Parts: sequence; C-alpha cells; structure tokens
Amino acid sequence: MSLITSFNKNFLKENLKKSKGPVIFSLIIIPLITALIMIMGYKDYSLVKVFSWKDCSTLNLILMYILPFVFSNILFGFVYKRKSTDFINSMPVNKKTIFITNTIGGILLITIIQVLVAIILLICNSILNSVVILPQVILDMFIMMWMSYVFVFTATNLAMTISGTLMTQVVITALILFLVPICADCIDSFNSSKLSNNMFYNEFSIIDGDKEVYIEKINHLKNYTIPYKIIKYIGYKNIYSNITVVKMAVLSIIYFIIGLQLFKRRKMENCEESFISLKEHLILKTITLIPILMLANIEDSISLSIVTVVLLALYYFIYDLIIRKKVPLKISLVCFISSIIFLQIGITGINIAFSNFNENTINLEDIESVSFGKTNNTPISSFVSIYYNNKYFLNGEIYFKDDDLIKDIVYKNYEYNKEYDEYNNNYQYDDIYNTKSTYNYSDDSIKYIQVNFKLKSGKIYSGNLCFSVKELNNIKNKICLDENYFNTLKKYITEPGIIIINSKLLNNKDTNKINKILKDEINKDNIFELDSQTSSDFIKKCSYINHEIKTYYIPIDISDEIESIISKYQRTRIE
Amino acid sequence: MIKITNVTKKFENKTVLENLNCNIKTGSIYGLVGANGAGKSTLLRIITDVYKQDSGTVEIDGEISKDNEKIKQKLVFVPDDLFFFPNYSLTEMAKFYKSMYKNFDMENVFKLAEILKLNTKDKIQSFSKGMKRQCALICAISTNADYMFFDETFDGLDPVVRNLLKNVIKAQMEKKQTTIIMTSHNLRELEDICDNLGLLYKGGILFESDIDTLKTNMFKVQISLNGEFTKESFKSIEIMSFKKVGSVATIIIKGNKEQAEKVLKSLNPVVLDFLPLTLEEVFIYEMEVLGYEFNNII
Repeated sequence: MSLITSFNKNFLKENLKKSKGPVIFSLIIIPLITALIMIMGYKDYSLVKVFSWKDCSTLNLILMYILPFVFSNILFGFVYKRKSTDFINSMPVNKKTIFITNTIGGILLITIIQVLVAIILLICNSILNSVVILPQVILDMFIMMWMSYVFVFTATNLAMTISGTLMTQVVITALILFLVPICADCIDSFNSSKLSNNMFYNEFSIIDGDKEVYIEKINHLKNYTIPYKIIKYIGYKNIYSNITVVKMAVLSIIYFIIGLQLFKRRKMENCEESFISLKEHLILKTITLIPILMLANIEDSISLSIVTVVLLALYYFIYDLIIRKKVPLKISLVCFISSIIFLQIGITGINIAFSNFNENTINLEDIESVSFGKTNNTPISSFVSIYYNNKYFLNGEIYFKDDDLIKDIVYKNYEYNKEYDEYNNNYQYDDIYNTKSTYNYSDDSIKYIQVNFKLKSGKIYSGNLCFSVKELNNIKNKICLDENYFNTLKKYITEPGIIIINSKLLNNKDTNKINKILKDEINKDNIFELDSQTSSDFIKKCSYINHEIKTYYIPIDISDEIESIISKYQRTRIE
Repeated sequence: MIKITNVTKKFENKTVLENLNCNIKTGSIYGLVGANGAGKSTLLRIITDVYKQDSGTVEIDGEISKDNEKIKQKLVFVPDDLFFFPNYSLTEMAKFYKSMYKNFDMENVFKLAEILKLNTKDKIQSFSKGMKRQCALICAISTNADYMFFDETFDGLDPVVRNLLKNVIKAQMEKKQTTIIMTSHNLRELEDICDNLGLLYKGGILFESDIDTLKTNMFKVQISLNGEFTKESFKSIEIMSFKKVGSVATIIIKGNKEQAEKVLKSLNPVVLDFLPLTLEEVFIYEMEVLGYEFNNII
C-alpha cells in the first residue's frame, strides 16, 4: 500500500521525458536487433533450427550488464551533479517517493523491453519456416531475462545510494554482483583435490581393494545469479534454474529495501567526488583487491603471485585517477602494502581451512546409482555420444540402482585399462615388425560410453568407460526391465514436442499424428524390438523438458500411415 | 513562520553552521548576508530539505520540514547555480514545475515572460546569464509558494535587470503574503528590497534586525561649532562614531532623531547637516560596537 501511495506518476513522467532519446533507444535496441538477426539470419535458412532460450538471448544477455545501468542513471543521475541535486531535492517530493517512483519506473522499462522481445520471437516463430521457438522457451527467457535485468537494476540503484560519482557506482555495482560468487568459487576450488587445482577439472578414482578406475568430478551448475553464471558457464546452453530466479528475486527485494533506507539518509552534498571521506574511499579500493587476490591464490605459483602484486599496485594507483580522487602518495603506499599483507594473510588462512587433500578417491560402496550417456551437467566439449547405435535408451539423467552392475562396470574397466597398459608397454619394447600384443581389439569391438556415478551424498562423478557390444546389450536389457527407468523414458518420448523428419518441420496436424503413434507404440511396449539401422527411419523429436531442449532420435517401424506423412516432407517444403 | 533551532552542519571536518538559531516572520523579506563560505547557501539548503542538518530542527508553520511533502509544496528554492533540463524551453520547464506544484500558475509564466521580454519557446541554454535568472525567477514566482528562497539571485546582474526582477518580486508580495529569504554577500543588493536582515558569521547569526529600526535608530550628522570642540562636547547624546576633519566633525548618532536634533541645535552650530546612512554604514558601526571589524566579516 505504501509503495502505491509513494509512487508519483508526474515525477516519473517528467523524469523520463527529459531523457526521452536515450529511453526510446534503450527500449527498442534489443527487440529491433533481435528481429533483424532472426529475419536476416533465418529467412532463407533451409534447415530447421530449434532455439533454446539462450540462443534467443545473446544480445539480451550482453545488454543485461549495460541497460539497467543506463536506466539507473537516467532516473537517478541527478545525484551526481550539484546543480541537478539541488533542483530535484528542493522539489515538493520526498526521497522515499523519488526512490520508489524511479525504481518502479525502471522496472516498467525493463518489462516493456522483455515483452517486446517475446512478441518479436513469437512473430518470428510464426512467419519464419526454419525457426522453431517453443512457447515455453519464450516464457523461460522472459522470466529469466526480466528477473536478471531487475536484479542488476536494483544492484546499480543500491550502489548509487552510496556513490558520489558514476565511476564509483560502476565499481560498487561490480562488487555487489561479483564479489560474493567469485569468493565462493575460489573457496570451493581451495576445497578441491590437490591433484589438480583447476576450477573445472578434477580427477578422481573409484577404488575397491586394488582395483582403481579414473573418473572426473562433475561440477554441478551452481545456482549463482545470472550476471555471474553467464560468465562462469559460458559454454553451457542450459543455465536456467528456478532457484537462480528465486535467488535473484529475493536479492532484488533486499537491495531495494536497503537502497531505499540508504537513499533516505543519503547526504546530497556527496556528489562530484567518489566519497567525501577519504577513509570510505580507501576501504572500497581495498575491497576491490579481494577477488583478484582470491583468484591468484588458486594456483600455488610464486611467479603468478609476483605478477599479481605488480598488477594490483598499478591498478591501486590508477584507480584514483579514474575515480578522480586525490589521495596523498604516502597514504596510498601505506594502505596498499598493509592491504596486501592483511588480505593475503586472511586468504591464506581461508585456503588452509578449506583445503581438503583427501577427496580424490571414492569407495565403490559409496556409489548409489549409475546412468549412461550425457548429462546436462557436462560442458559442450564432452566427448560422449548419447546415441549409441542410434538407440535412444541411453539417457544420462535417468539413474538406476544395481550394485552388481556398478561393481561389474568398475571391475571390467579396471581389467580393460590393465590390458591396455600392458599392450602399450609391449608395443613400445617390441620390434615394430614383430609386435607381441596381448590385447586383441579385433574379436570384440570396444565402445566408450559416458557413465555417471551418483554417490549417496548426491555428488556426481563421470568417466568415459569401455564396454564391449555384448556388455552394452546386457546393460540395455537390464535397464529396460527397470520399471522406473522405462517409465521415465516413456515420459520423455511422449512429452509434447515438435517433430522433424528429413530436416523438415512437421505441421501441427502431422506432429499430433506422429505423437499419437509414438504413444500407442510405446504403450504396446514393442518399440524396443525394432532394430532399424538406417537414419531415414528415425524421427527427430524436440521437447522442452526441465527448462531444456531435449532432442531424441526415435527409431520406428515405417508403417503405411507414417510413410504417407514422411513422403509429404521429402518432396515439399513446409507450408 | 520559519523557526530554526540549534542547527549544526558539518562537512567532513569543517563546521559550517553551529547551533544556529533564527526566526523568520511570515510575510517578511529577509536578507541573509555574510562572506563567501559563511554558510548562507548551506542554511537555505537545510531549510528547503536539500541537505540534512547534523543536529537541530527546522520548523515551517509549526511542522518539521524534513521529508515533508506538504510543507515542501509551500517552498520554492532558486539556487545560485541554476539548473535547467537540457534542451528545455521556458514553457517546458514551467510544465515540469506545474507537475510538481499544485498551485502553479501557467498564465503567470506567460505574463511575466512578456513583461521581461523572454521568448517562452526558445531553449533556455541559449539564454544569457541574466535571462536564465529571469526564467528561474518566473518559474519560482509562478509556483505561488508561501516561502521563496533566492540564493544570490541578483548578484552579478546589471542594474536594469536587477530592478526589473525586484519589481516582479514586489508585485508578487502585493498579490500574496509571501515570505522571501534572499542571500547575498552584498548589502547594497538587499538594502532596497529587504525589510529584515541577518548577518551570518562563523556558523551563526551574529546580528539581525529589521531595516527600518536600524535606519531610523541611527543617523549621520555633519556639524561644525564655533571654537574648538571634541567628542566630549556631545556627551548628552549616544555617539557611535566621531570623526573630525578640520573644523567639521562627522558624527554617527544612535537614538531618537528629534531629540538629538534638539540637543545639537542648542549648541548653536555653524554647520548642521543630517545625511543619509547606508545600510553598510549601519552594519559597520553596529559591528564595531560588538567588537568586530566589519570588513573582516563581509
């Protein structure tokens, strides 16, 4: 109620009117360029492209770091100049009204942008034949982008309440958005195996007695806020998470509340200078050193440490030039040296406290379940093919419990690795024309499949493991008999989605027909008996499940009904 | 009425206002004078809720002015450094004021613009300094606010423009009982318009009085008597200053003029002239009584 009564429509209207050029430009740039990219890129595109929300949002994501900042300055920029701050603050409108009105105004502008983008995408989906953007994708994109923009906007407003200049606002906004996630990430990497301190790669091994198999730890996508998540997981297609959205919503509310209180207490004489108080300026500058020092501490390298200190020294002195704050050289020097020393002591302490040298081995008995195939937690560079023999049954997200199978996999792979090592050793020492190989690949072809082990603790580890064709068939039979696995797979295949045959998108009528056939076929449980090997007998289906585009190649028996549908799309383009 | 009680304001380590007390009556034109950096602008900004005081209270019509939209509707502030939205004309600025002030009179804007010969459609940024001040004044007066604050609004303007603006303010005073607070570091600027004056020095009001009382209570006399005479010759009247050059003395007398005239005539002077006293001279002599060198204050 208080929010509504504190909203001053006239003030907002006049505040936006004075900057109508930048406002209009900001509102149309994303929708306009999105439309141009879609039309110019896909108007004559022959293959069907199914867009994920990230595919639709490249420009939207880049401008997420800029546009909220622009809006914050359009609405609150008056605080940085003495003349304008005198003028606005002397008006018959109190600070609470100014803050609430401008915040609501900024959120309205953000909403307009995202609605326009969604409309553009809906239109492109309707008029461009090769473009498929599922409505759920547009909804997810709208929610994620709207929330991200609002989050960054409230963070920039919070920064404004304590900044005296634009540059200071930029620095504080960056700290609000990135300081905590960077520190959390660094602490997490201090916690990782000391075999390899890289944040994204960790080598582990499953052991049982003398048997050992090497695998990797899968780093779950953490639920950071989007501004950081986008940078950290830059190669990942799907970073949507309800927890991320909720987190950003909660933080936005917190930033708004704190921002309102600080704005009401803001000393309006604090303008045209980063901070009136030298102490506050030095404290902020010191805080900006933390993320760099944390990152530098991930690697135990003296040369890196020296380079870091030198760069930080340069940065420390240039910072004052950029922020335009005069600080006596002696004070700067003393502060820099003492900051580096105290921060380094603190970070070293954290490093020691959180380092754990014992996590690089996993006991076989700690493994709860196993899945086969790519998971959504692996980066694009994963080497695994989900489509073993073009069968769809391997799905890395569906786990199933079988202690004997798990043991079998580990033991067999241990044997394979042992034979492979012996083969290599023999090969190295024999005459090239008289190779005495003990490992014969020709009798039984070996396939590599990604196997995902889920521990009782919930952590997931993955390995690219060997299986013979015979072993794989045994696994296939086992998991097909597993009720839970089969029902989950059924659910995936019969989920509503689009159908693509011969790179042509089926129209709604034919899609519904095919979906019905699939549902009927699966219910009859006869789809597993089909053993077609040719790719023309596969239907490509795209569904939106768990906020991700899932693509399945489904082998089916070519009945007369299906043949009549397929033949339409072999000779003609989609209407 | 504006009541300022024990207001203190510091900027970092520098105290600009310290336990300042001041009452400004409704309907008066109050001139606040002081040297550069005395705190005049700071005081106005505190009253108009641009700055927050570190301690003390400011009451307007019995209510605290801080964050009070209802009270702020009664105030309008014209700062020394004027601000206009970029590329705005007078009409557009007036529209902004209209959206903020409920009693804003748009007709008055056009009327005053015509009197001052300003084009309401031209961009304000193309105007001269004087014209910009006129625009600010037009917008401020048209708000019909009960309290108007002008921070060095007339300083640096040519006499013609200054007179025009003063007439505009006087006309506004006749229309509505508005209280006006003006600052300047030049007493002459305030002399012919203000009815009350306050001198701000080292964070406090050193001296304040209404101008009529100041001027009628003090007068300058040039006198020459037969024979030798000194200050002692005028014991029966209150003398603020006595300066003798040759046989003519210039005396500053405080008190009732008729009585003083009677006393002086009784001495059978050869020369007796009553001269007008400027406000600056009044202040100088008052400050000297208080033990201050006026030239060090302004």
